[in-house]
Formats: sequence, structure tokens, C-alpha cells
Amino acid sequence: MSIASEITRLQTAKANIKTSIENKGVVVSSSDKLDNYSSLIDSINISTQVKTVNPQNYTKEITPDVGYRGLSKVVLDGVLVDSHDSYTSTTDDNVAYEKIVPSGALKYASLDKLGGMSEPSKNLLNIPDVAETTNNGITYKIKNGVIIMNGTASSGISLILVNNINIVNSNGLCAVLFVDTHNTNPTTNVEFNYKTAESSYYLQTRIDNGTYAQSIISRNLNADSNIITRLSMWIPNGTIFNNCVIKPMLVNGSTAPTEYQPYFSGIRDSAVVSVKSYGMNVWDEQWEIGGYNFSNGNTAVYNNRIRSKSTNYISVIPNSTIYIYCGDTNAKWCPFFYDKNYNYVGSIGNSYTDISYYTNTTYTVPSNAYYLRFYLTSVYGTTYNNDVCINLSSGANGTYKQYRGLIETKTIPAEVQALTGYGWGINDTCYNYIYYEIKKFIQNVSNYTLSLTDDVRLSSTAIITDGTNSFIRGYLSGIPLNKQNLNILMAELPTQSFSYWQGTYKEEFIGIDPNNGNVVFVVNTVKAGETLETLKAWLNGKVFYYELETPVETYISQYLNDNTIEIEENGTLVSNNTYEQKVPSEITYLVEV
Amino acid sequence: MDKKEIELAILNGVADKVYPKLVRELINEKYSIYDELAIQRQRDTKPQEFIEYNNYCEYCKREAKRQLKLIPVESEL
Repeated sequence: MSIASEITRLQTAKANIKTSIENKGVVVSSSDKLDNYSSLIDSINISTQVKTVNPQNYTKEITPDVGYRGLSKVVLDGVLVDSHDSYTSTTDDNVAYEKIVPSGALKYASLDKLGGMSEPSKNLLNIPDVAETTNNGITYKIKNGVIIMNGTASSGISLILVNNINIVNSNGLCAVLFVDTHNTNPTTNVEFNYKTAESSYYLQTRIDNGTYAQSIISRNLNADSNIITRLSMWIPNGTIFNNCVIKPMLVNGSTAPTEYQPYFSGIRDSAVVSVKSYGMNVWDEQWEIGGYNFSNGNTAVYNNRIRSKSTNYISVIPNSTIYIYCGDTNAKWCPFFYDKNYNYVGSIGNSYTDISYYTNTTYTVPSNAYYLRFYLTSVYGTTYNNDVCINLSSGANGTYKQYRGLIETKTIPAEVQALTGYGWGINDTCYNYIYYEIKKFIQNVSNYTLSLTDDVRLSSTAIITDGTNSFIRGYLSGIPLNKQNLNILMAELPTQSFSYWQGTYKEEFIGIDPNNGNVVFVVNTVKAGETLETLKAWLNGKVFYYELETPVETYISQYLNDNTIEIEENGTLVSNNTYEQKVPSEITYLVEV
Repeated sequence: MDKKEIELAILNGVADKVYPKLVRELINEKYSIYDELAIQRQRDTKPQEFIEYNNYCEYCKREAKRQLKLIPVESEL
């Protein structure tokens, strides 16, 4: 080790130190001596920064600001779970004629799928029209299945209302009479009877006037294979009828319908022709002085207490919940409900003094009510303050929105409505529909018309009996149907599943054998006889709907237009069908969370 | 978010509010949250992986804006 090598070593070390200091951002002059290096080192900026940041859902680089050497600490300001998800989509796939737009829904919704539904007539009773006829003082007529009676019986009379009915009670029936006496009660002991060759089914001795001038008389008729021949009525001497309306129904099963349905033959398809969007407030805010009569729903004038009433009928949904908002919380709100034909159904109580008539609460629409009128008691006054709102959603409590009425209509193009199978559907999971997103018409359901040339065969045990009822069994093979889902529909025979078919059965039905895809018919021998020829004769011309083994998809982009529709939160979307009934549809809303 | 939801968001004028949700979904198509944490942890030892990941995240942001029509198509970054 020499002095020279030591000097070289020291010079090299000084140069390295100089470089290190310069790398830390401090300029070192070449004239700076080693004596100054300590102060240069002291001037190195070692300040660090503490930063607070908001966590994000994506990559973010956190760096010190200018003038800082580094970060001594990073503080995450709270924990982000999902703060950017202020909106979510929700799909409404209810099977419904009318739907309520959910709370929080934004201005536009997407119509995704629109389907159809097919149904046989619930009412088996096909009553021919009868021109006005007078018999012993009673005048009656029959039109479209509805019987209207007037007059005073001059003597006791057995009146045949319907003859030649010819319905076999194979699986059990429910006989129903919808009677509207318009509050003028005929005298008691008026009897209704369904006659058979063997006996009669006795319904009721009296037309019950009831509070709302309408009653439903029903009776279950146990399965006995008897043929129902006529409906008759025993009217005692002196009985008075004043526009008494009687609507008879005979339905399969044991559950009485709550609403009258007229008869129609075969299977009826209900296809969507348009979708209409309505605002939240279903009341048109048309207002006048007066009230309505609790006993008959007609306009009433209350001379000593001025009230204010709705001028026009308001459309409501049966069995639904409505919410009445009113700026005056002391005002009483009296509703009056009407059926499809604007006949008065009733109110909720008997008088405005009923405590349940307050506003800013919910009410249930009666099962047979389609329209509503109302008045507000004198507490509210006679000047409308733009603060009364009736909405069909109980979820919009305490909200007023101005009446908008019809917001937008989307009409299904005629070319689409004309597609074979448009509007057909067997149940909520098996139906034909427009699929907007892919611009296709999806056909899951087809139909088949039976004829004498079809290769219908008898089952190995063709005739089965339980000692009272006898049935003939036959089958038809070769229909390209779905063997897994077993969806099939026929007007004349109820559908039953394979498991039912395998058991001990005493009822007629149509079904599918999943082992071989055969369509199986089991029919009461009173109707279809006991031979192959008589069975084929009964089947001839009848139609059944079935689910296709392979759906058929057809491009319809050239017909479809924009599938979005303007809506209002808590408004209503109505799919106007050929016949008003539940129709499958899927609608997507963007909802604010 | 499917195509229908994106169209609804644009139509209803809330595309900017659902943008972060769509970006997250696009990132998650390739990287799970655990993948992202591992890449972040090994940022210095595996810099190339981080660069690829960061570039993909930037792509997702551009793609989400494009789908939601938040930027004109011609001026892609």
C-alpha cells in the first residue's frame, strides 16, 4: 500500500459519494471539497408524504406529489363495497294482463319477450238465443248466454230456461248462476234445477238479493256419467222480476268461478296486439260537485253537505291493491266499484261515516271490479288542490304525480300477428313469443286437427270401468311433440300427467306417454262409444295443442321496430290481447337502488 | 351487464353512472380479484405481468366507454 494508491482510493470514494449525493437531487460542484460533503448530505430532501385516497373498483396508481421523496403512509378512506352500483336491472316475467312498473324504475323499459296464451272455454254451457217470450206473466229473453226476466207470475210455473244441454257429467261439474236482481228482490222460494234423464241437481231455493244486488249460486255435481239435459226454474205464483239478469255456467271440477265467462267453442288464442304504458296516477283529475249513492252507485246530490266527486270511471285491476294519496289527511274518500259492464258492484261500507274511508291508505279492489268512481267528503272542500292521486301500487305511499294517462303505445306489426302460431300458449312455461333481442319469433306450440284418417288405435285394455263410469282408451303416435315436458291442451278433455295415467283413474283426459310420445285419449263411453270407430268419430274434427319437440325460430327483424317503451315509476303496462287474459311477457326495467 | 342493460342505460341517460360497473365486469372477465392482488404484490419482481395487466385495465376502460357511447367511436385513445 503506497501513498499514491491511497490517494487514488480516496479520490474514487469522493467521486462515488458525489454521485450518490447527486442521485438524491443535490447538485455537487466539482469545486466542492470533501469538507463540504456533510452539509451537502444534510441538504438531501428526505420528506415523505401521507396520502389519503378513495378506493376504486379498478387499478389506480398512488404516487407522491412533487417535492416529496416518497409516501410514508397511504390511508384508504373507507371501504368501497359497491358504491357505483346505483342502478340495477330487474326483469319482470310475470304472466299478467296488466303489470305495475316497479318503484325506482327509470324512464324507459325494454320489452324483451311477448307471448300468447290459449284456453278452452271454462263455461261448457252453450245456450241458444231465445227471442222475447211471455209465459204466465213472466217475460224473458236469452242473448249470448244471458237470461233477462221481467214481470209478475200469474200462477206457479215451471219454466225451462235451457233445453237440449247434452253435457255428460264425467269428471264432476260445478253449476254456477250469476244473478243480478238490481236490488229488487223477487219473492223467496224460486228454485233452479239441472235435469238429467235419471234425476235432477237442485241448486237453490232462493235468489239472494244480497247487499250489492248480485249473488253467485253454485253447487258441485259429483261425477256420475249422467247427461244433463235442461236447466229449469220453478217460480211461485206472484213472484215479481224487475230486470233480473241470470248468467248460468257449467264448469269442470269443483271450484266455482268468481266471474262469469260466456261460452265459446274449441280453443281460444289470446295474442298481444299492443303494449300500452300508463302513468302512475290512474285518476284523470276531472272533478265536479256531487257524490255517489251507496245503494246503487248512481250519481247523488247531497244538498246539505257539498262534496266533490270524480267525473269519469277509473280503470282498476281486480284483486289488486290501490293507494289513495290526498294532501288533506282529514278528508274521507268514498269509493264505488263497477264491473266490466259498468254495473255497480258496491262500495267498501254502507256510508261515508265508515271509519275505513280515510285517505292516504291502501284499499283492495273487489275481485269482480274493473272500474272505480269516488267522492271526497266536505272536509276537503270544493276546490281541487292538485293533490289527489290514485295509484295501482301500494309501494308508492305518500306520493302525488300529475295524471298523464296513456304515455306510449307499442303496436305489434300486422305481419307478426299474422304468423302461424302467434298468440298460442299452453301454460306459463310453454308458449310462442316474440324475442326482441334476437329479432325472432319462437314457436314452441303447434296444433293438430284430428280426422277419420288418423291412425288412432285402441290401447291393450280398451275399456275400463269403476262400476259406475266407463271409459274408452285410444292413442295416436307420430306427433313430433316434446316427450319430456308433456305439454298438451284440448278443449274437450282435461290434461293429465303420465303418473296419473299409470294409476287407477276414473276420469277422462288427454295425456302423453313419455316412453313413446303417444298422445293418449281416455273418453267417457257415453260420449265416444266402445269401439275404435265410435272413438274416431268423436275425435274427428277436434283439435289439440302440443309442445314441439324442436322449437321453430323465424327471423322477423324486418318487421320489428324499437322495443323500448316509455314508462313512469309505479305506472302500469298493459298488454292488450285479443282477449283479456294473462299473457306471458318479459320486461326489463333499470331501477335506481 | 348484457346488451339489453347497456342499451337501457344509454336510453335512460345513466351510462356514466353504470360505467364503473361495466369496467369492473370487463376486467373480471380476465382477472379475478385474487389475480389482481397477486399481480399488485409482485409488481416489482414481475414487472412485465403488471404492464400487461395495467394495459388490459386501460383497454377495459376504453371499451366500456365505447359500449356505453361515452366517447365518439372515432376518437379512441
